[in-house]
Amino acid sequence: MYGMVNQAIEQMVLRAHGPDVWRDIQRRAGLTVEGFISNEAYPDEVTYQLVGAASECLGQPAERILHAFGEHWVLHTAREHYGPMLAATGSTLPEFLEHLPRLHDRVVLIYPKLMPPRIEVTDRAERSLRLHYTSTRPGLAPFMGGLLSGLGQLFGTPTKVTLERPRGAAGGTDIFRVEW
Amino acid sequence: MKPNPANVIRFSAEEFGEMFPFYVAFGPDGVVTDVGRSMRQLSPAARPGARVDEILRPHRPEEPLEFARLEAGRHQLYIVREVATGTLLRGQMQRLGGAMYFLGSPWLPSTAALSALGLTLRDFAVHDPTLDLLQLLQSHEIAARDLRQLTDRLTAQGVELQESARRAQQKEEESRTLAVVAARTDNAVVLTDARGRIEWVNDGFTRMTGYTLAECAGRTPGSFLQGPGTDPAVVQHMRRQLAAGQGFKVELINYHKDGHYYWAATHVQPILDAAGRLAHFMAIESDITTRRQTENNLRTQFGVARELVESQTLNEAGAAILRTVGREMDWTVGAFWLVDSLQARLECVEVWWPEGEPGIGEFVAGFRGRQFARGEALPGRAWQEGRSLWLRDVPSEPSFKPAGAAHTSGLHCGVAVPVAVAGQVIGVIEFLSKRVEEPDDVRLSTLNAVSQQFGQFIEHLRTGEALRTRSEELERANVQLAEAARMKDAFLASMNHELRTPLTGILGMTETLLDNGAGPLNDKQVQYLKIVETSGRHLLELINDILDLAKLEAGLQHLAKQPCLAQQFCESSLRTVKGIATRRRQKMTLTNDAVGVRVRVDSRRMVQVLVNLLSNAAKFTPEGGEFGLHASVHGEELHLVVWDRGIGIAPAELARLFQPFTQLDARLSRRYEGTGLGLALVKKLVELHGGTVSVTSELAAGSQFTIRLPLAAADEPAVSDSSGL
Repeated sequence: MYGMVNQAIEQMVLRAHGPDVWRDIQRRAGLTVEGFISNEAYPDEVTYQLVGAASECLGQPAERILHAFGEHWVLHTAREHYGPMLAATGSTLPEFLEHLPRLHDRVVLIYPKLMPPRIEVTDRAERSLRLHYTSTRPGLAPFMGGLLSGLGQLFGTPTKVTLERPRGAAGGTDIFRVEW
Repeated sequence: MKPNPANVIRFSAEEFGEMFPFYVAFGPDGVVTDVGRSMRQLSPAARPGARVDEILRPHRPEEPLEFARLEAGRHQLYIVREVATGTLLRGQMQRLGGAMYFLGSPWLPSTAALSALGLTLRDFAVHDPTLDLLQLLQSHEIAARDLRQLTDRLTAQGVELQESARRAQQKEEESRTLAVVAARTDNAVVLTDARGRIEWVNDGFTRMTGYTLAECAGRTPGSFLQGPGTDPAVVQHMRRQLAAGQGFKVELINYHKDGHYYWAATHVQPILDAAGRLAHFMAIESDITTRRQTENNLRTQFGVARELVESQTLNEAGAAILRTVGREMDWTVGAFWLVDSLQARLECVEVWWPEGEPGIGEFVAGFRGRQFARGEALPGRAWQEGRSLWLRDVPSEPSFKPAGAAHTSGLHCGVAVPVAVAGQVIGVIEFLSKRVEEPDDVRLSTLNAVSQQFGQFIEHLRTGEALRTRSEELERANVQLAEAARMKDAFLASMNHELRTPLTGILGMTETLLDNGAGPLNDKQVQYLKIVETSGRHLLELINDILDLAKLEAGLQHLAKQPCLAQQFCESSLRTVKGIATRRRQKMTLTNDAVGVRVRVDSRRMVQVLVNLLSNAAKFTPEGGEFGLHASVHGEELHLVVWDRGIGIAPAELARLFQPFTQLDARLSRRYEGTGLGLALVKKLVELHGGTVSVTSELAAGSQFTIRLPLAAADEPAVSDSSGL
């Protein structure tokens, strides 16, 4: 993953728990690097180890950490890194979700090593839709749930996110029902 | 066949607008004919009919937007500025049909400008890379920021590293300094490996122990420093701590290479390597012999003082001193030798040694009762020289008598301290130890102090004995005196009858003879008989006074005290003396300022007191002179003052005035009759009434005798005088 992801985890921990906890997480994760460069690609293991160490250090399940990280990503990191792109992607939650694949298409140009998930919106109704999330990386459904929750906050739309069908053990697609 | 694009590429206006949403079309006259949807969004003035130069201004090249010039430059990049917002647009000029088209899109410096212009993603053609380039730019900016932050962090770490390096250098310098200090300090410093084997010692160690590094490297300190005097419990503790890799602090006896012992305070600390493993032990040792001995000496003196306080006899005290000093100062044998001055020999009266000390019992078995002549052996020499003697190794001294036995018992050092009372040696305290020890001034001064304490104790013991004897003698004498006094009083009291009866007979017969009861007398006979009568009366008066005083002092005379009006016994007294005053033509006055005042007295005795004083006043006042009595009240007292204008009394004689048989001037006794007992009687009687009597006088001016008596209680009614006086 790109450094901005790990950077975002660092910022989230620093903001909520301070530098001592972050140093502890770094130590537990066995990190030897001093900082992350946002447009530099790092092995996915680094991110997984950080999440695991944070879970151990904070005494919280990894799912909860990932969900919180999803919200943090939308409300802080994405805003800072691609605020106008976000704004250009859509002015409402459903519009944004529908155009999200386009945003990914553009981002891949900028970050060539990026492996974005595949997002598809179906069953668009007046106040709900289904979001199909397909990623090569396992275990990130809670992160997607956090992203959707954060997007609801970003657009000022109270949102209910339900994981209707988790992907199977062999991989596949997580299906979320998003209501607003 | 390759298709002709001109035949294939045909766009509707809408499709054209989707591909180039920011286009502006204008004719050769410079009038705008058409505008793309996003250009309308960006520039409100961009409408058909407007002039192109009202919408766009050339930026590069800086040439007017003239139709012909633009047609020639159709392969050129054109940068124009939108007039209303100042936004730069990047594109090209293309003639299509009869119109010139500007085909381009905004050139934005940042993504923020996008929002500022009110543009969205959909305002751009799908193929337009502007937004993506903007995003790329932003990602690079963010990456540059990350790098800056990383650089800052690395710079901070660099500064920290420099600071660490500086601290490390400082620490190294300190270590070097400490190493120099360790090498030169007076304390012994030892560095061992993890198993306690010496790797390095400083000069202080060599000075303190006598061993060089070459002599002790590879050995454990305990293997050559400890000896018989080292406490095994302390050694055990040290071994346990070392085995556990723990530091410790102990105080113990170590031995110098030359054999003498010293007290050492040892502080051992483990030294760990970077991985936390035990690498070395470092020991710092200081010589605390003087401190330990001072403490020991104080403890010894205190212990001796306490023992002496509790001791009752010389032998008890001697035994206690040997025990206390022997234990506190670590001696092996102690003996107390007492001087037998008659035989001029020293005899051992007490001996002490620690229980269970091997080989000592046999040596001291014959000590008690052993005698030495003056100058013989160590105690005899201390007696002879009257000073303390210290022998570092007694067996090697030829003058020491039992040297052989001492040697067998392993005894070496010996010290003998004389004990003196009033400058005379009365005994010697001797101590022996198993060590060869050089004379030690500190310990010797302690032993001298102990000897002084012992001498003082003996002196007190002797003084106490003398005092007890004297006290017993006095007690016996007192008993005898009391018995004698009682017998004297009894004798005097019984003389009352035995003396007066014959004297009354003599006076009666004399009177009868003078009255011619036995026939007429001639002048000579009358003269002699009058001398007999006068002498007899004086003798009777004297006997009366003596008996009176004797009875009072023997407690045989009881007073009949009761409340009486002062004026009654005052007037009675004056009536008694009136005859004398009349005969001597003297004026006698009573001034009574105590009318109605009562005192609790034996009125007959009070009359006796006042008559005595008034008679004296009459006696020592010249004929025709004046004397009197003044009664007054002062506070709770009645004052009775008998005064005269007589010859007065010299100040030096006032003090013995009230002693028995005192008539002041020998010449006066011949001139004025008197027994000399009157004032002693007065004093005794007044005191028996709880009062006092005092006198003031001036030669040739007269005297004043003042009697002070306590007033009777107010509710006690006065009893009328029944004395008949």
